[in-house]
Amino acid sequence: MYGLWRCLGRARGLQKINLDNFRQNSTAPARKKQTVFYMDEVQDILKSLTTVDIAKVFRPRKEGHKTERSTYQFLTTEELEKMQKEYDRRAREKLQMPPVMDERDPQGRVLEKDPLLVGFDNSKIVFTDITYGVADRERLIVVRDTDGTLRTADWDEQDRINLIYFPREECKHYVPPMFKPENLTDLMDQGQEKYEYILDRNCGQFEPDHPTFIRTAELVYNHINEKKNFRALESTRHYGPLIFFLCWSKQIDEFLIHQIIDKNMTGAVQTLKLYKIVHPGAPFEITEESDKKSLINFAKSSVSRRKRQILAALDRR
Amino acid sequence: FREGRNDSKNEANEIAEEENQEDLEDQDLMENDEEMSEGEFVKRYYDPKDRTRKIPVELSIQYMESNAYRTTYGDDPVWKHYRRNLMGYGRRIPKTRKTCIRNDRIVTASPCPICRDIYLVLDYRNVALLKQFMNDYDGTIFETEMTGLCQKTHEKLLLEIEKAKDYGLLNLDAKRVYYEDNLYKH
Repeated sequence: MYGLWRCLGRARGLQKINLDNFRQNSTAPARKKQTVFYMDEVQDILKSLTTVDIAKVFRPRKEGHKTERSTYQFLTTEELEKMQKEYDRRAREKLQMPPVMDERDPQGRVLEKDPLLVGFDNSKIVFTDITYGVADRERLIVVRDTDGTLRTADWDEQDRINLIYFPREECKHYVPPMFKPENLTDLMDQGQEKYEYILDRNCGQFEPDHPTFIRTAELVYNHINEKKNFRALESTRHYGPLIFFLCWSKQIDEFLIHQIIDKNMTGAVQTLKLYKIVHPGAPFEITEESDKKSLINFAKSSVSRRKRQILAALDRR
Repeated sequence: FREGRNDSKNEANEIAEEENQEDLEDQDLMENDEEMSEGEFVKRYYDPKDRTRKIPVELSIQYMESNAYRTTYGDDPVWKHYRRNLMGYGRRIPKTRKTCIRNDRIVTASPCPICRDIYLVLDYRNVALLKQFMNDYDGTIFETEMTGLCQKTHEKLLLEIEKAKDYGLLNLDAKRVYYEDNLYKH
């Protein structure tokens, strides 16, 4: 009898186990990308990995409109320090990372079905709430179909209708041909400078959870990882999302080698920390004693794909 | 007076066209050329004001790399040495003419830099030509006051530059987008 109670007690105890622990040991984390991306620890790591190169952040940009001339000023030491702080702050603003999200779920729910309205018009009618100050994603747009159904707009309709009332210069009403995968690969093979341009156009054209946005970004990141052109995105707003993608898809080996060769051991360990946050069940330890030890731990673990190269790079270092 | 400077450019262009034609005799120019009789083709070829022949883009891109182009224009943009025949001195510079070409024929003695050379074809693939009309520092497009293009050609230029931007062929930067993080956290 006592044994039976103990079993029941144990069973109840088992039910209290957090299912997250169970999921984290499987290959794919079930948490949403945006939940992980906007965690404070993750944001801190990504921001510290994105170094601020003032010359690159404030470089003259060819955006197709007239630019102001640069000025020369005479400043005292305090004024100079104050101005450097101000520009560091402004640079951080410019380096705001575009959101990393999962693909959006289809939206749209039926508000009313009115079959008596069949035949009122040949086309659908769209009603938009054009209140100023409402974000495009949250704007209320409803559609009356020809069969009388009144429903909220789905995502494609939401994007298009928003452009009618609030056009954006950086967003075309059609999808530019450069976003086709074949054209993208052609562009990227031309030269490294195109990565930033493609990703910036991507941000302007699509919402961060649009399937084409995610597909384009992943194509670019995979290309960078293959050709090892990490320097192209250094000190840009896309560096953080690039590292996040590499951690999420378990491809950090080339990036770690790049950091080791660059003598950025603290950066390499931070990447490992990020990897552990994204994949908590990862089979390697991060030790406080030395950065090199943590990297060796990673290289020897089962998740590393370039064990020999990482160890060789560490030896040369 | 009006015939003076720009006609010599036309002559230089004619010689350039001849040289170009000799180099590319074996190439098929286009279907229209084959449909014409040989006499008809030769007559149109030697008529400097005829614009019925439409040169394909690939040929134009080759022309930009060729010796003929180099001797005609050198290192300068194609509009650099074109001078408009304006009335008087010190007046407000008026807009360029509406078009140099009407009914497939040049109807003026001083056509604009693109219309006067049949081998300069404005197309989104012909980036070398498009770049000559854009400022290297900010990516702005030069006004017709500077380039001297007729209005119709200028419109075509704007269209082709926009297409080239859509394909990502021009080395420009895109406008920066600011995100309100709160909207994307869930």
